[in-house]
Amino acid sequence: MDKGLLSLVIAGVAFCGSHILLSSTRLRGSLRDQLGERGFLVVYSLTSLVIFAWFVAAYSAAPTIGLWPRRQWTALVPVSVMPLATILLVAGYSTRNPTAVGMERLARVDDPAPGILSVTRHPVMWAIGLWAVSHLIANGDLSSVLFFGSLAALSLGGTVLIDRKKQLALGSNWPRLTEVTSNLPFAALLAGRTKLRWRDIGMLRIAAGLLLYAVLYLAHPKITGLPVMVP
Amino acid sequence: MPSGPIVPTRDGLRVAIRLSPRAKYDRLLGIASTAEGGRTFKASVTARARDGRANEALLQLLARAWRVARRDLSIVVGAASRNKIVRIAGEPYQLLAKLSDEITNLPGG
Repeated sequence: MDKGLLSLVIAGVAFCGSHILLSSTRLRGSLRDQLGERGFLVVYSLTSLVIFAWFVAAYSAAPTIGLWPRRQWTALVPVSVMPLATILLVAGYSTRNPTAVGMERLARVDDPAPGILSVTRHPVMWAIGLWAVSHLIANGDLSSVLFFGSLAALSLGGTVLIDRKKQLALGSNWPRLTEVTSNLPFAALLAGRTKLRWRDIGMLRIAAGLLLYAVLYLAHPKITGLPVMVP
Repeated sequence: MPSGPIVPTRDGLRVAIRLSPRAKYDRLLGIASTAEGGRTFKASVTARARDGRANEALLQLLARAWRVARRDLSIVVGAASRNKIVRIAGEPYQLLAKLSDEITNLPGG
C-alpha cells in the first residue's frame, strides 16, 4: 500500500479506536473512577483533539485516488447541506439536552425536548455527520472516504450508542424523551409526534447558524487551503 | 533551452502544462510540442478562467491523474496564462517513477 494511504488508515484507526474505547467500553468507567467525571472528560477531549489533528495531517498528505468523478451536483451537496448542519451545531450546543454528557437530569423537567431537539435529539452529532457525508460526496476520492467516512460513522453511529446508554441511565424518563423526539432529523415532526416551535428554537440561533455558514464558506480557503468548489 | 514536460528539481518536479478552460471535460489530454521546441502536457477543464477556478480545477485534476496530494501541487508560473508550470513537491525521483506509468499511456507520451 502507498505510504501516505497507510499513514491515513493508521491515524483513522487510532481516532475511531480511541473514541470507541473511551466512550463505549469498560475503560470509561474505570478511568472515571480514577480521574473523576471532570478529569475523565478532560483526558477524553485532549486525547481526541490530538489524534484528530494527526488524522487531519495524514488526510492532507494522502494521495488522491479518484473513486467517482467530481460533478456540478456533487460540488453542490455540501453547499446546500451545510446551512442545516451549522444551524444544528449552533442550536445544539446552546440548547439543554438530556442526551448530552452528564445532563440526564434534564429528561425529568417539564419539557425534555426544547427547541432544536424537536428536529433531532442529537443535533450536534447530526451536524458533524452531515458535514462529513456531504464532503465525502463532493470529494469522491479514497482518502476522503476514509477521513469523512470515519467521522460520519463515529458521529451517526454514536447517536445509536448514546441512545443505548441514555436509555439505561434515564430509565422511565427515556420514553418521555423518545415520544417527542427522533434520532433521524425531522422524523418525529413528520410523524406528527412533535411540533416545530420556531420561537423555541430561537431566531437568534438560526441567524447565528447561518452566520457561521457564511464565515466557513468565506474562510474555506484559509482553513483548508481549498476554495469552495461551486460551478 | 528546449525541454521535456517534466523537469526534476531539488525538492520536486516542475511540469509544463497547456490548459484549455471552458472545455467539455476535465481531462489530461496528452503531450504536445511547444512553439519553442519544448514539450508540454495538454489538459482541459470545464471551469472558466476566472477567480482562479480553472487553476484549482487543473490542480485537482492533476492530483487525481498522478495520485498525489492536492496540497503538494502549486502553479509556479503562468497562473493567468494558458501555458503554466506546475510544481509537485516531494522526492523528485520517486515522483518521476510514479508519474512515468501514467505518462506512457498518454497520446504523444
